[in-house]
Amino acid sequence: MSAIKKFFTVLIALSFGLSVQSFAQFQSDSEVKRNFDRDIADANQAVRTIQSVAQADSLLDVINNIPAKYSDNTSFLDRVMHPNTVRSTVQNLRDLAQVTRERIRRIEQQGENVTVLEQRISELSDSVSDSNEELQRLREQLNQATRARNVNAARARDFSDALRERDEFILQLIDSVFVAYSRVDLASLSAAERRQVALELDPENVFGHIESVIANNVDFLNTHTQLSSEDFLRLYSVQAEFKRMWDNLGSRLSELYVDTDRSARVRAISREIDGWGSTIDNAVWQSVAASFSQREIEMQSFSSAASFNAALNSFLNTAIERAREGGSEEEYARYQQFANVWNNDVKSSWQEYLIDAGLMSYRDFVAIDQQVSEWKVLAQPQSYAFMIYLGLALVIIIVLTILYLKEKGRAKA
Amino acid sequence: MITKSKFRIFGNLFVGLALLFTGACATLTITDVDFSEPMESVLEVSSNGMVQDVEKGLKFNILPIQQEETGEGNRVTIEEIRIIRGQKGHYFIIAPGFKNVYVFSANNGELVLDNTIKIDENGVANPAFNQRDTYIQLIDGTSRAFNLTHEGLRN
Repeated sequence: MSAIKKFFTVLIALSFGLSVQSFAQFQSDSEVKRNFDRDIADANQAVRTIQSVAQADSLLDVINNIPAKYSDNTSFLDRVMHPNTVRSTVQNLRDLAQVTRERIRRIEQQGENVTVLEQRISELSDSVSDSNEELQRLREQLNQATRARNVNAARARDFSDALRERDEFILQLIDSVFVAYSRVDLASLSAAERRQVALELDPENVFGHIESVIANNVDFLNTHTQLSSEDFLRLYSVQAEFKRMWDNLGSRLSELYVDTDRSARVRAISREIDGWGSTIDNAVWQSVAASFSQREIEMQSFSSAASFNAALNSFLNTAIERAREGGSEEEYARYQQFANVWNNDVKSSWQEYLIDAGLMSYRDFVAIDQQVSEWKVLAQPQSYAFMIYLGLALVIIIVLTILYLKEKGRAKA
Repeated sequence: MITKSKFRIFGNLFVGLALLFTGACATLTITDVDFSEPMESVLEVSSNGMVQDVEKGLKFNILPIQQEETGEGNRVTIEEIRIIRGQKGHYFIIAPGFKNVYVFSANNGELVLDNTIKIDENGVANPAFNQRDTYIQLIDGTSRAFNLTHEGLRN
């Protein structure tokens, strides 16, 4: 059947004569060229409007199919487009699409980093809030117990543990913010791409969490004025870590947020962190000063790391000068009083946080340790045995002198 | 009285002039030139009948061809023409609705009609030229194709 059909087809074709062909409908070369130009123009337009890697991939499929679509006309098109060719034209288009795809992939990757960051911040921020509520509850229980003059040591320990847990959440939050934003490689993005990434960021989520951490901390400090110096110093080191992170991150966000309002907000957060720093600074030095005065150690007043260091040095210099005039029980007791605070509080509990927060250095501690040691040596009272031996020696000398004088008188007589 | 020496001088002068004249009239011919354009040009006809192919540097008035085809030579009745140059350098021209393809050769600032090739008594509605190796292919948007040379339909 098909052989007969083929025969008739050939017969009909021949019937048109040799000059007239009747195979499939003929196509105009100029039409082929117009179609090719249109396909290339469409693909070029599509490259400019790609918004996702998936779109880029499907466009690349379309571009890669163009040579096959025009395989019958490649030689003609190459000649018409000289010096360009179908291959070079499609390759240029493919390169452009791939560059665009890579750019979008990078932007999407940055966006994903930021999304992960936002989720992490959100989780940690919730944890900090929960922790704050737990602290408040424990604090109230502790206050009630104190008022009842029945200090519950277990509750005090719970409070302290909860406080430490809260600080760890904040530090984790800081780490998350810092690490996630470090992955946002702003240097590799153009201004337009930065704007695109900035659009991906939810400012309320990023800024909101950072602001809430600051506000929570300031609020916490204002409502928990009776914390120990160690607690305050630990909070100080948290603030210092947060500030270090923000000093790095804030400038990166300023680069990212070309929008004026967002830049203004970045600056506002910097001011809030400074305010948080002032609050914790006041609280720390008041608490540290109270710790010394409660132990009847009278030092010059201080309200900063520098003045605290100066007050310590001044106090020790005065003590050493006084001790040089002679050690005594009283002087030694004064030394012991100070050494107790210095060794048991400052060095064992505060040193880590003072150094972490950049308030004091190891060199400061070594210098003060040397002064304390010198004071100890000078403050020690002279030994009783020495006094007894000295008294006995005097008695012996007097006895011997009397015996000598008596013997001499007897000899004269 | 022409002396022998004068005769010799005139003789030499004649030979020199003859050589000079012969050299000035010598022609340089390059053979096997391929004039074929890879693709037809579709040119819009202006209100006064002018067509121009800016890319190929060709410009002429279409009214004489229109008059030849339709008898109307005063006003423009066609909107576009299709033109392609064949391998031998002839221009093949047609417009939608024309019954014939007009074959011209370029000569000293003129297009000289070499041949008129009858295609369809009812006119070709959607003509288009394709360049082929040794001929020009005319298609009409249907299943028909006509193979043309400057001499006519190719057998």
